[in-house]
Amino acid sequence: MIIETEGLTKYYGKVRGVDDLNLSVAEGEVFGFLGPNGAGKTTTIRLLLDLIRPTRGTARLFGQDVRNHAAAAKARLGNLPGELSLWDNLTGWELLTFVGTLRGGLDGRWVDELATRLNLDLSRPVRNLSHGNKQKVGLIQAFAHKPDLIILDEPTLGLDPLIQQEFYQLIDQVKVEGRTVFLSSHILPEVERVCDRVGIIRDGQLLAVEAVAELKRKRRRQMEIAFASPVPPSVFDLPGVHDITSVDSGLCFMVDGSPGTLDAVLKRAAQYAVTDMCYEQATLEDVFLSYYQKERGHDAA
Amino acid sequence: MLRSLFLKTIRDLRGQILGWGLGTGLLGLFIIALYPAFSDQMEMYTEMFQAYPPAFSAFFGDLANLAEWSGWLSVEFFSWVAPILAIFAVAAGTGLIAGEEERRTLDLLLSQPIRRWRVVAEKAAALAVALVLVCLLAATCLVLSAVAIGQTDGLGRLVLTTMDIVPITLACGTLALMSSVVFRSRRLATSLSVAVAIGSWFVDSLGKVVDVLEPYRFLALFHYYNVGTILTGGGELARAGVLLGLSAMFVAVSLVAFQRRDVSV
Repeated sequence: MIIETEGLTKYYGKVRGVDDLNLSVAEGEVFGFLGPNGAGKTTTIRLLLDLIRPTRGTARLFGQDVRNHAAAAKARLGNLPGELSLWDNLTGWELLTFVGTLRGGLDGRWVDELATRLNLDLSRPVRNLSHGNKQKVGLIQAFAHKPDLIILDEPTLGLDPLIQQEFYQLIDQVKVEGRTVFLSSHILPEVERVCDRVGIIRDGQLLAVEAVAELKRKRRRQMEIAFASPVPPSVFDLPGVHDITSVDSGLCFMVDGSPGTLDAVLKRAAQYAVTDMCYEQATLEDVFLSYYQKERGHDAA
Repeated sequence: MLRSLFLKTIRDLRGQILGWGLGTGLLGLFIIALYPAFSDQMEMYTEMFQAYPPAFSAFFGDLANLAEWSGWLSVEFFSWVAPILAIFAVAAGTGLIAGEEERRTLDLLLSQPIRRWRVVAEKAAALAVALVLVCLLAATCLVLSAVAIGQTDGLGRLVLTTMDIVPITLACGTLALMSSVVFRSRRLATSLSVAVAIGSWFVDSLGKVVDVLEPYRFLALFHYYNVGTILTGGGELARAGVLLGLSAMFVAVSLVAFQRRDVSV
């Protein structure tokens, strides 16, 4: 395992950071760490980097406890800190040169290529850069030494859509090369686009870890069917079908991912004169929301 | 200048080094330029100052020797320039770690494969070199000014006396570093270190004339500063040794404290 945490817990005094986190990320995986702001994503990353120390539990990178082997692990990883701050008095090049010296060298050609791909002028002082351009300097810094593990805290914050696409391609490239990415985000389409697996965190606790494909398969999707003549909602009162409502010319309901549900729905619909149908695209959004709603429901109970 | 954290830290301080070094040097130049006019009327001033209460000497040096070149410099320059430079040292000292922490650049620095103790050690070394450079710049100005007014005797002592400011300011700067690492607050560390530095200057100065304070003078950092007495042939280099030892201890505590603690967000 490249990343492994066991019962990882961090309290700031009485304030909860993360609680009993058990995570593992295998080599070559792109792992998405998904959750709203304040859920504990940054705390987890800072624990992995040994910037803060756990109240309980352990974090291992490359199989070794970060408490004792932080410098060795950092030599093999690149990190983009959340809410990035850079040394304002340096230019992009100077900053990368400095970071390069701490890492024993800088591959100038690769850095040039990264700068071109992300459309960044490295000769400008960091203080004069926009937020998005500062983020690019941070990204180049994390990718520059082609590390075995790249840890990114909200990487696309402030990037325009074109650059975001370029960034996704960079992640794809890292994945093809068999390297590992750990990416925190609260942007679902992003996680969906680049990640193999996601961990969903809320209030410092890991709610679920699943493959993106699996999550999408399981999720509820909305279906809307228009009929030539009115059809009573009770017709679709089938297992796995929820929230049936009448709309202008037909019915609207949610279909969950359990096996056979879609087939049953279509066969039932086929008994009537269908004029139109809409079955929405699968996104992680609803899965995510349903996780949170489920949890909230539990809280209320 | 970006070949190591040590060099980068000096680079970050270069404006302040130039400013404080040349500023101090120019003040020295001004005071030295006044000396010829003053020494012409030496007798009148000597009588006047001898009539002053001894408490004045406590703060301003040996007024009886004011008419002498060395006395003039120690009273008019060296007695107050060290506490002033101590303020630079404190500001720079708290900036080393807590400054980066406040600006949140410490996360980026510690994302690189550099050990925490090394971060503190390289930065503390840079602070020491910065203080040496400030004093060298000041000494250069002083020597040039002295030569300009024809005071060419004892230039070596003049340089040594200026360099004697390094240990006391380094002690203040490393104290500031240590408190900023321990208390995680730049503001608190600055207040505390300035209080200790200025407080100890008062305790030591007053202790010379106030009997109650006299036994506690050895506790004051400024007790170990030679206040320009090297210039008159006196002064003890061993005192500088005490300050350097204390500085090393402050850095050592910083190393251990920083190794153990969380980096604030």
